[in-house]
Formats: sequence, C-alpha cells, structure tokens
Amino acid sequence: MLNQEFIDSLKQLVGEDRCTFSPEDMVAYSYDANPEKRAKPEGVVSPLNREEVSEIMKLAYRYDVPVTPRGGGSGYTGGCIPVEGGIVMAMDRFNRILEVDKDNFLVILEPGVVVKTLQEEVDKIGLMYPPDPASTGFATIGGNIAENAGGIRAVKYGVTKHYVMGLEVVLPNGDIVKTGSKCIKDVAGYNLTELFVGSEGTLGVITKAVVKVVPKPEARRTMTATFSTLEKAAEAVSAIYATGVRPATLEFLDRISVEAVEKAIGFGAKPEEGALLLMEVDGSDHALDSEVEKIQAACEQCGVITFRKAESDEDREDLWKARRALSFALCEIATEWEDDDISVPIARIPKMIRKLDEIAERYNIIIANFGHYGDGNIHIGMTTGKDGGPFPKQAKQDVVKAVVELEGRIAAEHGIGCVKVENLHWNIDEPTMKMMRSIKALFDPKGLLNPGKVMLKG
Amino acid sequence: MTKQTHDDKKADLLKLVKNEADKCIRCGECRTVCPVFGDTPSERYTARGKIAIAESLARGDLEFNEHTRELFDNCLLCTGCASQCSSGARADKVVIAVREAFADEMGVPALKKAVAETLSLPRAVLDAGAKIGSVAQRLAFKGVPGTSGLYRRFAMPLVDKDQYVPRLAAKPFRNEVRFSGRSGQPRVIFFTGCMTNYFMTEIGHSLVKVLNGLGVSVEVPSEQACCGMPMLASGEVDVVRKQAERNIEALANDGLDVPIVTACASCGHMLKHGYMDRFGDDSKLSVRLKNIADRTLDISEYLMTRVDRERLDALSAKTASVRATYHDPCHLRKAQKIVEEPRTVLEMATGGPVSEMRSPEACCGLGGTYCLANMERSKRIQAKKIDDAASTRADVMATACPGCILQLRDGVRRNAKTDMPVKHVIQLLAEAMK
Repeated sequence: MLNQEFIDSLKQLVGEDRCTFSPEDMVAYSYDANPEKRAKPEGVVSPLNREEVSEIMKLAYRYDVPVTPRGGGSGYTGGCIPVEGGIVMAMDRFNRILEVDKDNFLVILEPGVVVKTLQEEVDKIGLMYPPDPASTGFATIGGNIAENAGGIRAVKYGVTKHYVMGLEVVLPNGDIVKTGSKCIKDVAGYNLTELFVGSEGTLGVITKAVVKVVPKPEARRTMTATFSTLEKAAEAVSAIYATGVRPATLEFLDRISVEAVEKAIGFGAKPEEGALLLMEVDGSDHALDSEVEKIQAACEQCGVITFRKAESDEDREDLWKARRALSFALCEIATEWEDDDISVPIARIPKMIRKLDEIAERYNIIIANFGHYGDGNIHIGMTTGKDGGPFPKQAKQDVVKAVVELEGRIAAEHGIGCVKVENLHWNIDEPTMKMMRSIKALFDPKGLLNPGKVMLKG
Repeated sequence: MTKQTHDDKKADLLKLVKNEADKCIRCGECRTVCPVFGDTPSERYTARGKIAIAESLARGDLEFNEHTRELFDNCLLCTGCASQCSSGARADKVVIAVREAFADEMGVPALKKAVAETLSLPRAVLDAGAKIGSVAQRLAFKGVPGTSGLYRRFAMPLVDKDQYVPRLAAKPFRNEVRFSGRSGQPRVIFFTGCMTNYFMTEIGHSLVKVLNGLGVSVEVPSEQACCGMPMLASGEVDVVRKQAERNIEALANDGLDVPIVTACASCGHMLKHGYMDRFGDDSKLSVRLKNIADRTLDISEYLMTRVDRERLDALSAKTASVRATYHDPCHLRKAQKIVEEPRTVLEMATGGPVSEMRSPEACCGLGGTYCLANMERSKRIQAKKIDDAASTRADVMATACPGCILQLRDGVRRNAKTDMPVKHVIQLLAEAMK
C-alpha cells in the first residue's frame, strides 16, 4: 500500500493529471509483451522533464517506494513489469528529438522517441540509425538502450550499444549524471555509458541520449538460398564469409519453420528444402553485383537447392514474405508457444540446432528455430502442439544447459527482465555476480529501482 | 432486464473479449496509430490497454463506473489499431461490445441517446423535421461566407462560436432523386447515408451526374435508413438491429446482384463489416447482411473496378488548374483498405498529382458523437490535421466521407493559416466533367 503522504506529494509534484492510482490504469500498466508475467503497480506517474524524474526518485527513496521505468512496454521479458508494486514511471512524454547533428553524425534525443521515428528523421538527410529490432515501429529508444536491443542488421552494424555515445541519467538518489560525449574517441574517465546500456533500468532512469548515425548505404540487394539441411546452410555461411563479403542481414529458418511457412502461405518451398537463408548486402551500387555473385557462387559450391535474387522492391518484399509470415505460420501449428532468445558463437549454430533437435525428441515436443544466423542469435519456439497437453518445463532448462555447453548466452537481445533472473548464474559466475550486486548497491542501496530484474538479490 | 439475460450478456461479453485478448500479444504496435493515445499518452487509451481492461471488467475484477466508461468512450472507432495489428486483434469490436455492456449497466448518455433516437425515427417524421429545421436553422445560425455552412447567432450548448454547422437541405436528397438514368443501362443502388441525404445533397447530385455520365443508372431506394453506426458506437444494439432490418428491406436483392454504392466511408464500413461483425452469427439476418456486404462498394472503388477506364478518362476535362490534397477517411483507408482509388479519382478530376499532406491517414478527430462528447481532444486532433493540410498550400482539400468533410470544414474555420475549401472527391470529379 502506498503511503498517503507519498501520494499527496506526488500529486503536488506533477499535478493530478499526470499521476494515477485508479484500478483500471493499474491493469493497463501490468504487462509487456511477455505472454505470462503480469503484476500491477500501485500508481503510475508520467514525468515531463529530468527535474521531475529526479524529484520523483527522491520522493520514492524517502518513502521506500519501488519505481519501475517504462518505455513502449514492448519487451518480451517483463523488464518494465512492476513485480514488487510501487509506481511505474512512464516515459512517454519524453518524446522529442532535440538535435540532428548531420556534420557530427549524431542525434540527441529523449528516451520516449519511437525508434522508427528516429530512423525516418535521419533517413530524410541520407543517414541511417542501424539497430533494427522487429519492434522498431513501436519500441522506444530508451527501451532499446535499456535492453541493448539488437535486430536484423547486427551482423554488419552491431547492436544498440555500438551507437550510444552518451547518456543523461537520473540516479536513484536523484542525482543527474552525464556519461560519454559527442566525441568518437573519448577516454576521459570510466566508460559509464556502456554500464547503463543493457542495465534494464535497474541503475538509473535515462532522460536523454546521444546516438551515433552512419551514412545510409546507397543500395542493397536481397537474396534467399535454400539447402537440404542446416548443416549445408552453415557450410554456405562459412564459404560466404571466406569470400570477404559481409552481409548486412543473414537470417535463417530451420526445417519446421520452412514447412510451417510453406503450409501457411505457399512461397514455393520444395519438400527437400530443410533450411532457408535470407541475406542482404548493402553498400555502393556498383560493388553489390559482384558481392551477390560471390554469395551465389559460395552457395552453389555448398549444394544450394534454390537461389533467388530480388530485382525490385516488390521482389524484395516477396523474399521477406517467408520470414515475416513466420509468427503467423507457427500459430497454425499451435497457439501456445514457449519462446526463448539465446545466442551462441556463430560457427556453433548447427551444433546448437542439433542439441535442440535432441531436446525435441527427448520431450516429444516441436521446436522451431529461426533468427539471426549472422550474429549467432537463435529464436527458439517450443510447443507440445495443438492438443499436446502441458509444456514440460524441464525442456527449457535443457536448452539453457545446451547453450552454456557451447559457450553461448541465455539472453541475446530480449533481456533478462524478470523471467530469466533465476538462470543468470548459468552465464555469470559467483565473483562476477558479486561484483554486479555491488554495482547495483552502489547506485541503488535500497534496491528500489526496477526491483526483481536482471539478477536475484544476494 | 431479467437476471438470466443479464448473465447471458455478461457471458457473451467475456467470450468476445477473451477471444480478442487471446490474439493480443501486448506488443504495443497499437500505440503508434491511436489518435487518442497520440494526444494523451496514457496506456489506458491504447488498444492493448482497452482489451486488458475489458477483460478485467468482463471477469468482474473491475467495476462498470464513470472512470472505466471514460476510457471506452475515448475511442474514435477509427479502426487504426485493428488494421495495424499483426495478430489481428480487433479492439474496435471490444470497444463496441463494452459500450453495449455499459449501456445495459448504466444507460446511454443523453447526448448519444438523442442522436440515436433522432436518426432512427421513421423517414416521414425525419423528413418533416428536416424541413422545419431548414427554416428554423436560419434563425439560429448565420451563413459562413464562401461555403454552404453556418455558424451560430447566439450562445447554445455544444456549439461554440466557431463551430461549423452544416446547412439542412430544404428538400432531402432522397425526396428529390428516386431514379436517374435509362432503362437497359447498368444500374447501381445508391445508399446515401444521412449526411448526404439531409445536409450535403450536392454529394448525391455529383454522384448521380458522374454515374449517369458514364452510362450507369442510379436507383435511390427511398425507404433506406440510417446505417446505424452512431447507435452501434453508443452501444444501442437493439436500435442497430432495427436499422439493419430496415436496410435489408430497402436494399433487397432482386436476384440481379445490383451493386450498392455509397459515398460515405462510415456507411460503407457499416454495410461491409459493421453489420456482420455484430449480427454475423444471427441466423435470421446473417445471409442477407452478407449479401449486402458483398454488394457494397465505395464510389471510388466502383469507378475503378466496374467502369471501363477509357470511358472514365474521357469523362473529365483535365485542366490541371487545381492543386488538391487528400485526407484518408479512417473508415475507408483503415477499415476498407481503399487507398489508391479515391486518389486516382481525384487525379482525374484535377488533372494533376495529389499534393500529399504529412500523415494523410491520420484521423480528423470526428468519430461521430466523439467530437461533441470529447470536444477538447477532438479539436486538438483536428488542429494537427488542418496544419498538415495547410502546409501543402493546396487549393482544395478532398476526402471521401461527409463526416470528415464536416469536421475538416470546422477545422479550416478555426485555423488562421488556411481557408481551403473541403470537398468530396466525387464532387470534384463532377465539377471537372466536360
């Protein structure tokens, strides 16, 4: 129960129209895109500026109220779900792009800006903000930074952390700190920026960010290649890398995914096609034809069954159709899926898929794998089928063990949130965990900022 | 209401809401398209928020009260969220169902009830009222210079000093035109909608002129009734059912599958989807409503798909003297997926390319009685739209729905930067005819 004095002070601070305690609003801030986890806050506050954020944090600290920052609420791991109650700090009103600095290739913006808005804004002047997760159209830059989001271009361009140059952050005690700068080379002091990127809102509340942008590639080419098995596809990927070509995007679908999409939309897959690679290269127009030729030759050398090239935007959409239709296609197999997001060193993807096949057999379940081959990130969908009964939870633990055996990570781009906290120890050993806890305690001695996320309390 | 029917209705509500809630993965894609959330960023106004809250209401975890009603009333039913949703969740269906439940629990607000009762009156009574109204209106309102609209002479509720009020026609369109054309020609049935019938009769006359010019006869069944969208939006399902039944009679199929054309995006949406969404599982109505849905075409859709292109090209003079911008009615673009057709018609009328505004798909903020019940927010949504239109410096703003026209004309009146006229695309095409 929130203390009445706290409620009154909060109302006085931001006004009655920017904080709410009504039961229906608590329902509306109890979720993100995680299918199961829900928890209601006891209040929601929508600050307008960093000073308000600072005052709210001080108030929360005075009255021991948990605070959960929230961006677009599009995460999969419950990162913005207020699992210990308290208040949600909704950052929706921080939605301004403050400066587009073309000469210095950077943008200064507030955390509530939708990533696509940023992308469209810089696209107008021939620049590109590369991180491109599937939720680009509705996720916010603040959420992307907090989760260190990835996306489909990571293989060539990296992930969010590679584009954050500086941050303005309000700490749990209300202090407003500034990390990083507008400079590419900057070794003045500790690299605090990267400490906050991916910290899932547990160390501070981001109120401003300086992000890097790059020149927009002149052109791109899209291709798909199918193989009999994922091993064959893996050989092709090695052969492609050996040519020196670096695709911007390198997505894959495994046999179950290919079959599901074929059944749902009929994109022309043959029965012998057990793996699909979707590739894009970008750069200067004249260089791309030769890159496509090299990729095609590498695929042919490794037994490609069908190789398709997009000649137009329409063709490109056509090639992307299979990848985009996947979620929908998998729903035809079953409506209830247990999803996971893991990564392994890229050359070990075929080994990981073999281990997943074994797990599927062991528990008599269906496992569909797809994702970002080029950066080792596999999205795993597991189900017992349409009327297959309850899902064997142990299968999920077996996946974790398999990941660890291959030196992979239990979370690639969706965060730990509140749903993977108990598994973090599989990746982080005790001395390292202890250090992480000390860092958390230094920033947030009372453990009030986004509690219950990233790691278990010591 | 008996206890039994009350419980049955609750169970039906839960079933419908749960069905949509199961589809919604709460990704938040709906946040970016909602005009209400765009104005007031609170999760309660998003489609996923409404679906989650509706589920709690239907389960009895939340109460039906003024606070919970507010958020369901705060939906323009633009269908933007439903058309954007990758999972196919229909928040618009949920909103309508919950409003129906609120109507049961708490009654319909007086304003909405008055609108619904008026529009569902028998035709003769409505026509007589319109006749008196057209005279009385001159006492209460003054003409807006250069337009067919009016504004008030003295203070009155819900009408501020700048409010654009459409002029009531001295004679309803359906009393003027019953049939226009020649026997033996291809024929359409014209579903006029209330706005065209009582206020913007020029849209009806334009449609007839264009179709006759193309050698198509137009039949205007006089007994057609309000499509029922305003009543559906306020949860008065029994009234909607009556309207549907009246229209089943008026638009009865004579076995020839004559197309039903409309120039109102909302009427089109209602005829194509609204009836079936609500009464699709009612065995008494569904077959005939499905037939109406299958035969209904927006006028621009009809022109682009049923008329010979050469004939259509020969129709307009194409002087290229007018630069037009275009506003997408939500119920045409989002609900009916009709995007290119009205633009092509407009280009035929003006002889040049459309001067696209920023976010042509953004809602104008009318939402039926929404603009009266939530006036301030509606005006803010409207203001953004007019700013975007004004930035194009076009000579005229075209659209394809009389409701939008009403709202846009009101917006232009309130905006100092522009005085551009607002017209229906079919009007512009009729004006451009040789």
